[in-house]
Amino acid sequence: MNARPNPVLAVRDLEVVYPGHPPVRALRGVSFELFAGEVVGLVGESGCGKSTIARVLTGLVAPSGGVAEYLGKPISPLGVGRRPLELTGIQMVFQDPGSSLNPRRRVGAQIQDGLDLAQRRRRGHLTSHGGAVAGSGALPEPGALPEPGAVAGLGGVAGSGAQPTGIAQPDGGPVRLDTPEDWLVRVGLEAGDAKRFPRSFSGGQRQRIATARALAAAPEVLIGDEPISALDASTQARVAYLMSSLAQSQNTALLFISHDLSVVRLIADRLIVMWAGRIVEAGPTESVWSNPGHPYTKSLLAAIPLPDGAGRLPAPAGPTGEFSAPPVFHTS
Amino acid sequence: MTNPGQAKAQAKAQTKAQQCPQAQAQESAQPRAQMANRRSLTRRIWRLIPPGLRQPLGIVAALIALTWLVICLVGPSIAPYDPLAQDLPRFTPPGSVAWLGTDELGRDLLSRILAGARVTIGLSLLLVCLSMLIGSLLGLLAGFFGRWVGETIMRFTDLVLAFPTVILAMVTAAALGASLFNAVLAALVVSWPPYARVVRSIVMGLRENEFVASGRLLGFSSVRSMRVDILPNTVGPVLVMASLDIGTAALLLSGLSFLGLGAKPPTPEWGSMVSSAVAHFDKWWLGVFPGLAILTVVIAFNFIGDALRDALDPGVEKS
Ligand SMILES: Nc1ncnc2c1ncn2[C@@H]1O[C@H](COP(=O)(O)OP(=O)(O)OP(=O)(O)O)[C@@H](O)[C@H]1O
Ligand SMILES: [Mg+2]
Repeated sequence: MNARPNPVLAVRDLEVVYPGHPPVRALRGVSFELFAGEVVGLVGESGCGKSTIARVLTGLVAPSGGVAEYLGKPISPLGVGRRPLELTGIQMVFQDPGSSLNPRRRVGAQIQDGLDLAQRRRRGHLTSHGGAVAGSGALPEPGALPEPGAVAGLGGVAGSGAQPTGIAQPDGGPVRLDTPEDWLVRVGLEAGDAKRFPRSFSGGQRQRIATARALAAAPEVLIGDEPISALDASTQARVAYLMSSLAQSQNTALLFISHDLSVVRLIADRLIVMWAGRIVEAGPTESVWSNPGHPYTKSLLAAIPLPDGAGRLPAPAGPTGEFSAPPVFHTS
Repeated sequence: MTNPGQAKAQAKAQTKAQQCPQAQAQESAQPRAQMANRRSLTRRIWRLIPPGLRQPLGIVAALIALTWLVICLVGPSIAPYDPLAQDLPRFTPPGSVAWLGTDELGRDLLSRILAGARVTIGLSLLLVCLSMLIGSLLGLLAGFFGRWVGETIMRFTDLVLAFPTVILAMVTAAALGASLFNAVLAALVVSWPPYARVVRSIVMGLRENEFVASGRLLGFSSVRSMRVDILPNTVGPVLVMASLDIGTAALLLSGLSFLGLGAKPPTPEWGSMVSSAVAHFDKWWLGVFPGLAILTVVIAFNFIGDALRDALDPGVEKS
């Protein structure tokens, strides 16, 4: 490893066994690190343990072996009580747009929950976002934002002036705190939508709202557990772009889980490929994509329809027995 | 006898007729205009009702229930006679003197029914509210915390549910001594468990929802999670259950009074009125009218419950 700063998230030899008859070994020794502001794609087939990693990192499941650390401290499982404030820097967007928002509350109030948490984290000096308030004050006026739906425009959000992180507060001026409306605009909806109930939004819009709520909390880490797999193909890339560009604009690391390598490739700096509870390949996206080393990754890449317009699948991969080959780690 | 082919043909003809309303309008232009006029008024009233609640049966039921609730408030003052006064000839059949007749002590039946609404319906509402509160609270705790808290609560609930409702209520009422208040207590003992069960299962289902997990990740305490994410999503089903339960509660309280375990004699309570009618079987009005009163309350609140259930159906947009 080169001279990188300390990771925000570190997982070592993580094992999870779900009790049952027989018990399910969902994770069999998984190790990886996540650094500030980077986008990591976690891919693998259904049942390989991706959600389990997300659940351990958010404390929803207790590991049966190994450690998961956030900012150097072990992540404690969520009990009956309140989640410790130190751990609220890990937020998550879930898979199912149908249940990711409370149907009986206006979306504005739900985004406000994220903002309230950001406020508490700031008071506890738990945001590392340049001391400045993540996503506050320094953002351009809503009207100045590029066309939110457009993918190119979103790239603009990430790259251009919408970086609250490094930008100083307007000198001495009063800090204008974020509002749910600001966030709605940021994720490509309208300020007036704050008063609406989740039911009246489409799946893609709900995932945008869930993203807004999670990022409004100014987390260090955002986990998206297949946040786009319930969406149709044209919406998938947009929501994925949106999540990554907004996360990067406030220096939030994004762990983007998916079983669809073709979308993840578009946003991820690094890829982690899992198979049967293990990491089988990891490395910079381009390197893994163009030069896959592990048989499973090869078969995963081969299963992506060829871009010839016919949706043709390449020849099937070899026997799954090959997949237990040793993992391949690309170095950057 | 209709064969399916015929039925289909008819249906087709009907849809055709609906598709070309112009032809019909020309056939009967004048009466149509009148009807349209009258209809527009009903339609205007209809529009005042929230879309989810536009159900004819539910509205009729709501009107009946509303009438009874008004009677609860003003009953004694609109009664033609003092419900306790024994001035009229005994056993007067329904007629001009007493619209619904008089009882064995010469008391006006109509006045007693109007005054009794307050007792029977009022206490039923009280009973349902109390059992809803107690049952929902226990169900919420059991469903949210699970483990030993939930197990303890649910075993206790099962214990109560294991007894036949009416018998347990009777035994409790008999043990407490006959009085209206004790009848409500006795009824309460048997009425909360269904709420606990239903709320627990709803809460357990809700807990699996991703928005509940999201709330916890955003640092909600258990109390806030329950208050914000769980409880509001149980209100609909529980209200439906409660409105369906009002009729049952009225029956149970009337039943206890009928058995002499509730209202004491002079109190005009519908169940005890039916009870005293049993001794005079040939004077039909003594039992029929209070019985009808109970019946309309039970049916009205049942229909309201059904209508509410439909209205709160997740598919219906409401905001
Ligand atoms: N609560 C549970 N109890 C028992 N087994 C479980 C539980 N949750 C997951 N599993 C099992 O653990 C394994 C990993 O599950 P996980 O949900 O992490 O997979 P995944 O990679 O997220 O799959 P998907 O892409 O379908 O979401 C699977 O074999 C699954 O059947
Ligand atoms: Mg999953």
